[in-house]
Amino acid sequence: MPIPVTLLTGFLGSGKTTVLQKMLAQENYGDTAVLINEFGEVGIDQQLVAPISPNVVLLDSGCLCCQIRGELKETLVELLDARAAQRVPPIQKIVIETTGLAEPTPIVATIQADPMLTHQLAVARTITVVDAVNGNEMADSGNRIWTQQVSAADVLLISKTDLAPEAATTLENRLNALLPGITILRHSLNDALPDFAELPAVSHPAGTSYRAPNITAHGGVHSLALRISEPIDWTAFGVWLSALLHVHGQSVLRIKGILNIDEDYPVLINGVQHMIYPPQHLTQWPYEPHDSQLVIIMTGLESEKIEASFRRQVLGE
Amino acid sequence: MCGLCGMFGEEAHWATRLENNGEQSSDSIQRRRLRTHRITLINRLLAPHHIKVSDWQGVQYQLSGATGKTALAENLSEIWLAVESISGRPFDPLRA
Repeated sequence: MPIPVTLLTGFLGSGKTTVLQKMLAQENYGDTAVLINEFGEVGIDQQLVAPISPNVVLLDSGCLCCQIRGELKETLVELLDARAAQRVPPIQKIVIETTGLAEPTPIVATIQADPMLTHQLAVARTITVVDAVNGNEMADSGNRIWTQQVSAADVLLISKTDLAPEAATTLENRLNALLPGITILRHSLNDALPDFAELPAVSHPAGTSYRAPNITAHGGVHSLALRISEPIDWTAFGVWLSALLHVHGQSVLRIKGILNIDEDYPVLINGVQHMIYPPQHLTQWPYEPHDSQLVIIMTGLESEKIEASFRRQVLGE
Repeated sequence: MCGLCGMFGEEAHWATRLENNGEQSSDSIQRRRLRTHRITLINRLLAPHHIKVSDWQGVQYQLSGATGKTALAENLSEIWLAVESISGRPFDPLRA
């Protein structure tokens, strides 16, 4: 079984390290290795986390982006080697905390593209921490990194809700509209963290049709939520999505859905930009009726065109 | 791996990985059927661009353009790159 990797991301000052500390204090994170990427010369975050977990490795070359994929890969390979040689305790989980200025996609790409890593590690989830105090301003600003961090989330934690409860509610509503189907949790300093492994693979999207850009636009970001009652031809879907991502991979920020491919159980599809996680067969239907649901979050693309293309080339309409 | 030419099977791609990890993994007839279906779908999409795709030994896809320019691709992602190299412009499914 591959070791599950949790990516913990969020913009500068959003409260990632606080979440990490709480996470590591939980009983089920006792056998976790933590990789921290700190922007700047002094790795302050390592000092905060080190007393809790001895398996902290600090990537000290700054931003965890494309330029240091090699370093991330080497660090992970060393960690796996040390585990195999029993030089470290038997690690069961890995958490990677990114710098506040990093996009999570290259990390996913590093793990999935490397033949050695992809067989030993699996990105289990991306947790994005969003600050209630500054979150609405960041959403308005259309900051590219903030948008990519938020779009990549499997779980969004709205932090500092005790400091700005009204702003947190506004932000929660905005994010719910922008990211249908993504789990959004409010979190204040004294709250306990949920067991992320127990959260459902996908939340039930509220909307069943595409959302017009003027409703859910956040700095040019908008979403398309489709609900399809007839079974989907998986081969046609793969051909269509791979072609779409080849040309528009930078504009498709996120794709997530549950597809009825005319088998007993549905398939969970999950991707960030041009990276698609290995699709999974679910062991049961999470809802009735067994319709497919697909959410695409994009920027710089027209959702109507994507829907028309999907219906023409996948559904054959 | 093909014992004759030493080539490995179709390179892993998220779309084909699901088919191969399913119950059909050991069913070579089903795998070939899906591959043929995939090629039919791609040919339908690329017909207006005068590019044809055919199976090459069950491990690669051979693409050929109207001028005779050809390219090999190992998986779906490479097919779109090959289309670009043959036609000189990317294939955009939003315009197809």
